Amino acid sequence: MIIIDDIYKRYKTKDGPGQWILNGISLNIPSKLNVGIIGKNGAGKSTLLRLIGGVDHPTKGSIERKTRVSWPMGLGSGLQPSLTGRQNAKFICRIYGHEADLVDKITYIQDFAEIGSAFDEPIRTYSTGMRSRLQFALSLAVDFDVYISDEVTAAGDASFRKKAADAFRNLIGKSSLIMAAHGESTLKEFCKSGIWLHEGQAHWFDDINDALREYKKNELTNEVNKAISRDSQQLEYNGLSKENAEIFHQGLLILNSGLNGDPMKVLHNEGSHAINVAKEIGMNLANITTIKNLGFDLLPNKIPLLIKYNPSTDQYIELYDLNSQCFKSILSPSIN
Amino acid sequence: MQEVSKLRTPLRITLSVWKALFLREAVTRLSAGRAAWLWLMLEPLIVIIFHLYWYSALHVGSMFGMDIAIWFMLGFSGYFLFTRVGNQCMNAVDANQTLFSYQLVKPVDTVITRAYLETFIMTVTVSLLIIVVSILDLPIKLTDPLLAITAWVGLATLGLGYGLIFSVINELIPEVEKLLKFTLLPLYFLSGVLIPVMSIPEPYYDWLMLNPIIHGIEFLRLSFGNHYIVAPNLSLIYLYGFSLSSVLIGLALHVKFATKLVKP
Repeated sequence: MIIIDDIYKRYKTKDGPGQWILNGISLNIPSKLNVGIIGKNGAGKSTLLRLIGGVDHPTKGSIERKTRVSWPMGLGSGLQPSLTGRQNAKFICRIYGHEADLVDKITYIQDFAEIGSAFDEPIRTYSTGMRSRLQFALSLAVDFDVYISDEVTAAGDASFRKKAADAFRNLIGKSSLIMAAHGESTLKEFCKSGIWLHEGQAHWFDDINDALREYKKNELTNEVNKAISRDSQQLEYNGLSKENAEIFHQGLLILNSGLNGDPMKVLHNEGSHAINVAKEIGMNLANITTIKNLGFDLLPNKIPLLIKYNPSTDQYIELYDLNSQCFKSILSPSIN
Repeated sequence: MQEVSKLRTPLRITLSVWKALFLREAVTRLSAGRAAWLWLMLEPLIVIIFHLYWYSALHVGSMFGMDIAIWFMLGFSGYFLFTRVGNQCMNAVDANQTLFSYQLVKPVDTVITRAYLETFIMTVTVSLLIIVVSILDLPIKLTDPLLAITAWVGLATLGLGYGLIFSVINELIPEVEKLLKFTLLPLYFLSGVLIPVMSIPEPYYDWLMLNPIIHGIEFLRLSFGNHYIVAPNLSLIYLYGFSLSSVLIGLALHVKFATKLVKP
């Protein structure tokens, strides 16, 4: 059980205290439950993991750990650069009370990290990949009840990632995981529950899928709002008349940039106006029909829909229903 | 409850952290460069030889009933113990920031282990120095071992207290470290290492005796010579009162500002 009681966190900046990154978070994370932390970049995922792992302290509030909690894995920090991998490994085994089985643990770490003779070289000569391999092996060697993982499955090359994921699967049952990862599949595979970090607040979901859905819905709404607030110059550049720019403000939007940076058009549909404007700019209506055939009705009144449209291939990529509580993706499984 | 029972006790955790830190620090200190251990010992030796040459040029043979070489060696060793422990402790928190990734390692642990290691290194160095000196047939004789140990430990504790306090203050107000360098320089001359305190007239003598380092150094000299004329008003209670209270203040500061010492 990890009890997070009303924590606040902000970092010092050059101009005094910075923005609140975590703004009053209270959570009870039960034992033996794998939890995924979701949020966009800068939402405070790493900060929260560092606080849970005890690397950093909250500005206000307290965290009570009644179990053995690991340091955030996969950061590659906490290794003394001037000492060798072996010396660092010995140190960590010693502080975590593995004095008696030190030799076994060192052998295990050496085998798992697969860094060869570099194990007896100073850490400063290591590449980033070697560092994270070593640290991952270190955190597995020490017995913890809760492992904290910050993007650890992204460390190293493909074969090491597979090995790391296998090691994680073995942990399940013995220990639990609290992890942050960008890959949706990783989160779905390992985690049962989810925490969505948004604007300094934490939202708990018993089911990770609910958390992911809520997160993506929010991301998309933001994306639409951002697009709506973009200036009219951008619209004119896209060939919209002034009249239609007004329609845009009523909820119709066509613009020239996509969610992933590649040229796309986002169409925010509110009834049949969408079709009219789509016609005016010469959009291929056949694609709309295609989507309709997929089982979604594009035209019912007052139901805003969002379509990502890729002009280079002249294809619609995804369709999201913003108004209903669910998020639907037609052709691509995730916005990533 | 089952979960709690298999956790190690805080005392056991602290002891294993101290042991691990000690071994790690020792490796770093003794393998910092080529024959690092040799330089650790040569440094005080070279300073002592240099000063002895200087004194012999002035034809000073003895100092208040003690051979000048021994007098200076002991004084310098005591002062060096204090500054080395103090400086090593002061920089411990900064130098070990990477270790605070492990929540079991607290800043205060790094300071305490450094004090222990530095005292250990200095004890070995000075013991070797004394052996060399007696092989050279200089008149050195440990007449009061208990007093020697008491004075030695007192000086090391003083260094620890100084280190504990300033390891916190330097982290909170980094400018203090620069000021300290200026203030420590005259301390060398005000600690009775080069200039005998006995030669200082009143009322300056009384002021000088406020410096606890003098008490430690003079007691150290006294323990090595029956005939050494000791300065009046020397007090072990003052030395220990000063050093232990500075340790307590330092520990209190570490408790109070524990979270501020760990840099993100």
